[in-house]
Amino acid sequence: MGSERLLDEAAYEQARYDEVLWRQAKALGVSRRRFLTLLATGGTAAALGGLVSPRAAHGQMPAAQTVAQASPLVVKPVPGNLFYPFGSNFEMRWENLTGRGYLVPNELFFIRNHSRTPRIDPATWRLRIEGSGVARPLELTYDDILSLPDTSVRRYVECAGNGRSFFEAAYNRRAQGTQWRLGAVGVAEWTGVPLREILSRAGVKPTAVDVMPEGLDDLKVRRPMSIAKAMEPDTLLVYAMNGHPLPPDHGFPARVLVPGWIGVASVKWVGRLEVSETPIFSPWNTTSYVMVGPTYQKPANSPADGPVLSLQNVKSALELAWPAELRAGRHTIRGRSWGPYAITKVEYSLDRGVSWQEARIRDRQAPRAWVRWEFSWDARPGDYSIRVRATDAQGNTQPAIVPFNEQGYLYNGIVGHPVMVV
Amino acid sequence: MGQPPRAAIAVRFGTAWSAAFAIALAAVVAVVVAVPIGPGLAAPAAPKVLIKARDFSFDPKEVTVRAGDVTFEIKNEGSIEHNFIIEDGNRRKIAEIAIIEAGKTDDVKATVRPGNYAFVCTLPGHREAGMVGVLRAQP
Repeated sequence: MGSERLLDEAAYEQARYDEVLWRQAKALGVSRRRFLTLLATGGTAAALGGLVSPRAAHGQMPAAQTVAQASPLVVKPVPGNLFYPFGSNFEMRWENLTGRGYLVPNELFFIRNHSRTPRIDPATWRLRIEGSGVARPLELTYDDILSLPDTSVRRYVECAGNGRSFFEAAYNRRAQGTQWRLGAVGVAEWTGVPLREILSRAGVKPTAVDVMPEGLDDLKVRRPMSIAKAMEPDTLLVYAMNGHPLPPDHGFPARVLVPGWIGVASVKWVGRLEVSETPIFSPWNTTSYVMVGPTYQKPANSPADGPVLSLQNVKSALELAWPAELRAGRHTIRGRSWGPYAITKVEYSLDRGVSWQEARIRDRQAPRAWVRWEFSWDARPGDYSIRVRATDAQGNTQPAIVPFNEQGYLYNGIVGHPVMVV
Repeated sequence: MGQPPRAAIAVRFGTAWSAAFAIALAAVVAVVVAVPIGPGLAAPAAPKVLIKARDFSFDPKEVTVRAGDVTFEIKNEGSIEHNFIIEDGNRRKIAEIAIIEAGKTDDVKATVRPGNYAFVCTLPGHREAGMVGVLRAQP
């Protein structure tokens, strides 16, 4: 169903764009029949003088968005032996997962902050659920949230730009944004309330089409999702991570979890859910988190700069330092592969991609999570580049190379991990 | 053309949306193009322009140069990462520093024709938070 889902997303996005045009056409007195004719001939945008950019409608910054300089960017300790620092972002060092269990402990979990971690008092925090798509707007307290029916799921969260630095390695040209290697990903057990439970209590209307969580951080991250995604059973309002209250850097008091989608959709420090009967556009699905590059076409009539990202893709990483140094002899090499769909096969190559062998998958295959895998290697002295490629239940395999995109998203090409055997 | 889903969704949507966008767009465009070029402006800057990037603004936010080759040196005085992109009136990129770490300085050389440009930080949300400036290139 994977490709179908992707197609559904594309169709949904296209429908949103067409709706924007229809509104403009209607305002100009164009009949529905005439509009559909224009749409069919592809001349709608031109006929209407071009689609005005909607990105600012939900993109206005509130006044006085000055940043308090007193507090550190993040709350939890981020020592250099656990993380690579990038300003307010901290990449997990994969070697620290060696020998650990399935979940990434909270103290090792990567941090992707668009600005600094807000310090929020749960006693005064409120979650508002409002908009044209609900019949009964709600305001919930932290205690209200904790009293609702809960569920726990094991899912990965990954920055859309994880792997971005490999664009420069492949193209000798940097993509815009944090130069992650592969450590902007982690699996945790997330506990919270299914979003559909909350939306249901707010009287979500059958005509609702979009849900946009809004963060309480300095930039007020706002990343809309379709109502269909919001109503999935594992799309949650999360308040606990690995059995502990959500740490401040990971969204305390509550965040959204949107499994399988790019990390920005899992908005942290959420204070508002806008449910709308009309398509919602924000900078986070028009100028950012869209694919812009020589091989990507701006969708027809789109207010976005390029195809909008939603689903993640298949990736793999080794539980080794970068670069790694091993003593000669037999080793068990371990790693993990993940993606929106269950990982069914993991292969590795020790000769720069000439020959491939299958690694042993250690975990039950499950979608929207990762599998751990391993293989045995009798390492002889020398310099190596270990390559890994995973395949999912939809037949998606990591490619040799990924087309360049300006903002450096979704790099899932096969990566050569440098290993020196001494 | 996938008409059923389009039509189905189209019929379900409400009103009063594009007007808000038009107003917002006008505001954005005004920043980029409404500043006139003419006498009385500061003298054209030297071929090297220094700009400070902060969380979330540029200083200065207006720069005037002579058209031709210009080096832009950007110092990130903010606490988080930023970048620096120069766009023409059609939002086509003419120069780029893809990422500048906090506390670091980087530069880029651009060949600018006479006209008006925007310089922006394209990291998510930064442009909308105020990281946009005006570059005027005089003949």
